[in-house]
Amino acid sequence: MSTRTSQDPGPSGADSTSALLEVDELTVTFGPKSKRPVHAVDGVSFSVRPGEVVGLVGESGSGKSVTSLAIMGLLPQRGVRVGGSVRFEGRELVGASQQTLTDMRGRDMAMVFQDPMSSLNPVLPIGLQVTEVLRRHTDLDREGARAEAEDLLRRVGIPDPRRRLKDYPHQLSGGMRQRALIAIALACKPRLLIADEPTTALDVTIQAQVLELLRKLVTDTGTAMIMITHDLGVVAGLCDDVNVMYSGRVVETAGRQELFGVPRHRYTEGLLASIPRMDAPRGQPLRPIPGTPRDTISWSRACAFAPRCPVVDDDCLVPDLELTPDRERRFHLHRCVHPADVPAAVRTTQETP
Amino acid sequence: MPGPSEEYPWGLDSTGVDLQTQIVFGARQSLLIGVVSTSLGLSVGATIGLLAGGFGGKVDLIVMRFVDILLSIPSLLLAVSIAAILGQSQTSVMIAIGAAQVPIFARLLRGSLLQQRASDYVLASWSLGLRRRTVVMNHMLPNSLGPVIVQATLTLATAIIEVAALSFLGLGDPNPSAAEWGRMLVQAQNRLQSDPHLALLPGICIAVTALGFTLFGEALREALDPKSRR
Repeated sequence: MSTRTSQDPGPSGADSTSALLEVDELTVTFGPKSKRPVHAVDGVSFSVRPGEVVGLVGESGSGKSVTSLAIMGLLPQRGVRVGGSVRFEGRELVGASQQTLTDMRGRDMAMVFQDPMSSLNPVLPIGLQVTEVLRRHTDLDREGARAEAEDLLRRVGIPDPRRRLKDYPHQLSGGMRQRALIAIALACKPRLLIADEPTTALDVTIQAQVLELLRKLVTDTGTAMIMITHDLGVVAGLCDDVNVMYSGRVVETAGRQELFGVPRHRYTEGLLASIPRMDAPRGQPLRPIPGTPRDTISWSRACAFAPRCPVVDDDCLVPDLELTPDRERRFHLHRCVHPADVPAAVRTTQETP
Repeated sequence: MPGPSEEYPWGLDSTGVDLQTQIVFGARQSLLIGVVSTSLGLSVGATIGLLAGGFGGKVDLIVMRFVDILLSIPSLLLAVSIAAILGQSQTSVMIAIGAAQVPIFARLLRGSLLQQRASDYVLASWSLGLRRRTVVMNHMLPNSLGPVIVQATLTLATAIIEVAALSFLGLGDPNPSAAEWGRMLVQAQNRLQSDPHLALLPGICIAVTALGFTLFGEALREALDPKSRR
């Protein structure tokens, strides 16, 4: 499977600065050698440039969170095998020493987790949890770190930060806690931020605020971001490039506009059809994707989505289907034998710019 | 047996010593031995548990098998054998009771730490590149201490009972002038029929003290839990 190399500017094709993070043929395998191993992530490749937001989209179990943990080097060492390559500014992270990774985590790359309720230590004040990271990775003294922490909380929009530093996590609301987590992740100005479903545990109005905050941070500081989500609304609002994952593999890669405008893979098409749209005719029913992610075939035998696919036929039983570029758009890749049609109207409008 | 009188409100025992004075001085002994032995058991046990649960690997495996062996011996039997080996003295009673508590604390803290290891905020602290020492000491340990502290106060109660048990078996402090609740029970057992109050009074003292520490432990747990803080 050959997808993209570092020379390629990527689906959006906007700028040509070199990639900050290159993930190449990343595989994560769970399970002891004696048993049949589980391929949680199977040959995933993508790259992230500074200031760019790359989305990893998929259902539960599609391997998106495992991908992020593998990039951070946070997977348990026993019973897990990580293959392929993850390069951060050209530096190989797969197989790097724990010492190297520990020094890089928090300083060069950081992560915002899904559940702000449980991702903060309940018995430590917020201030301590922020200063701790600052003091680990910078030369700030106690007083300097405290001042910086106060500034960080202010920047993520927590009112009265001086007082909040002394508060415990349970004294903050859910949205505040997620803001505090973002402040902690951004404390040492990492160049890569991985956000693992950062809005799933929040209610809708807070979701919008947190997304706005993240977008602002990316544009202001040029931080690269990997946004992991199952929410296509988040993708539409935030991501430049999108990788749709299914059963451990990327099934479609495209720029945001292309993905929403001309989805080619049947899975992406199904995902888009299953969410309500403002521009859809009134009363049109939503079409859910039949089946569950458990109805899957191993990629080594056929297309894993085949059991749930509306247009499946015998041609789909190809082992190790390749990720192929779209005929007209070089950076729109999909892994489908019978890709969805591009509407004629879109074909003409999309080709001109 | 002279009963309660104006001069000696709780009466005298068989050797003619004032019961009230004995109870008061006995409190000193029982509490001292109880507190010192529990602190001993707590500090040694918690250190072992911290090494095993916080750092894992081979250390964990070796230490915990040793603790399992200790746990398989009834604690009183363990205390009796240690006291018998070390000889009769106040210090040996403290060490014996403390040693019998070590495996309880070690296992409890280890289990508690292992539970924390899988939690989200520990993963989050790894993701920030914090050192193992920081993660274990600042994040995992404070969250694991709750059950250990409660266990310590409960153990303090049992320790006081065990002091009494050791004295009852004749392994306590041999100094006859050092009054001790357990020994008062031993001395009272021959006269249980005629003078039950000789056994009853120190018995009540042991029970009330043990109960007091248990309640203290419960209160402490509530105070330590930030969620219940007003």
